Amino acid sequence: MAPSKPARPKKKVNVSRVVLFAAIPVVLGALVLTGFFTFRRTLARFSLDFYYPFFQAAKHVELAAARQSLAMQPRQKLASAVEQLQRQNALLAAQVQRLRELDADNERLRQELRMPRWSGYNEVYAEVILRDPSTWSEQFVISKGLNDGIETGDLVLTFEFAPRGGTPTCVLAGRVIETSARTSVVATVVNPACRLSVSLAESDANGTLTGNGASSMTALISRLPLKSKYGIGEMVLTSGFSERTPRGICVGYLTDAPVGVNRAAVVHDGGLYAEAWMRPAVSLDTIRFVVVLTGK
Amino acid sequence: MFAFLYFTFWSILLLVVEVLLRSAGLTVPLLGFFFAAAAVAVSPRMALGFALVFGVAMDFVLGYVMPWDGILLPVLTLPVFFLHGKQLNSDVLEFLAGAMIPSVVALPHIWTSLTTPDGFASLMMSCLFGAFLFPVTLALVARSVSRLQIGAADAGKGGV
Repeated sequence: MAPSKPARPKKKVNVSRVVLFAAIPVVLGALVLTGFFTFRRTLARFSLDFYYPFFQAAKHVELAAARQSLAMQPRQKLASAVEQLQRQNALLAAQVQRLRELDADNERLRQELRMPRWSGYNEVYAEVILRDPSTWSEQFVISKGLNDGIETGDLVLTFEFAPRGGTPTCVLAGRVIETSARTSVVATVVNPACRLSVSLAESDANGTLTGNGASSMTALISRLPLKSKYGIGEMVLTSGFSERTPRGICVGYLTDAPVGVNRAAVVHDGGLYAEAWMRPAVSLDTIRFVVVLTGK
Repeated sequence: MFAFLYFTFWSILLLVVEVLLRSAGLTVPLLGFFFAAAAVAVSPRMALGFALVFGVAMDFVLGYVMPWDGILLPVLTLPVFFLHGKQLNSDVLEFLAGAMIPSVVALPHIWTSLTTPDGFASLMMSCLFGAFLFPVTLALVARSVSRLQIGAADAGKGGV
């Protein structure tokens, strides 16, 4: 009978060595990723600031040409435009006065209730200086940045003018997603990078809005409560729950599901929440000037 | 040194013009035409390096998170490494290369371009425009390089 082979001694697995070897690629990966994002951010800011004078110079030329062409309009037309603007100005001044009174009331009530003082927002007026046709409705670059107090996440508003010269309505255009010293990149409400908390005007339900891309020109509102009823055309407003977001700014209106999406306008998402589609209130193709709300 | 200055001057200028044209709603890949032409007429290696740097710069200027142009513009300079000088003298090849450049630059958004009627029409127009513009750019770059006496020796190895 042949003697059986002696059993090979089992190799002891050194756990700490395995952990060390596993940790090295993880740490290296984290370092590479951190380095890439830091490098990307630094280079992006440098590029935007380096080219800023060139683009701004081109904008100055464009504005000068626009002023000259305006001066060539017939006097009657200019006079009627001035009259209309004066009317709008008077209406807006009255509204501002009323808001000042409300602000003072709010401040007094907060003091009485010993609630923390609301710091409010600063408004920074900016011009759209760059856009790319391939992402025309999804993002654009504006002429103000960190030097003017703008930070990532700030809300960007614009004004929709009524067709017969009424006072303009303030609507949400998007959010700042990147800033350099003198410029900022804005993601519009249809850009998937733009997310914020919204509420519906009639049903008073809150949900989370995410852009659905320029091809559909819609955004999806998810996490809506199941119990409420939602109708097409219902107004969507900012809820004030997101960071740096005041309450009650018009974002858009509920609409049908975009073409190619095999779903109803409002669907129940897994039985827990409802989802609805929204079309933005802002005319994204024609934005030229915006107001950025920055924290005080 | 002269080749480096030549590339720097035209890259900065064409980037500004291209971005301003894009902001006006026109996609004309001027940098793509220039780098493809400069790769043939001046130095493929220098064109490759500048295409990488200015492609990334253009993406960042336009606010893109992913630097697609930084990848695609260098691609436009690569074919010259595999071709011989005589083949590049063909007019038909120049027209074809010119027609290809806008479609290569539009690759990241090709789905939108092909699925929307406006996008498809504008891509076709860009290709047609590119087919005529690229031979002109090539001739202009070649002439300016010979006038300025920027040769392959100045630009480093690889001038065709």
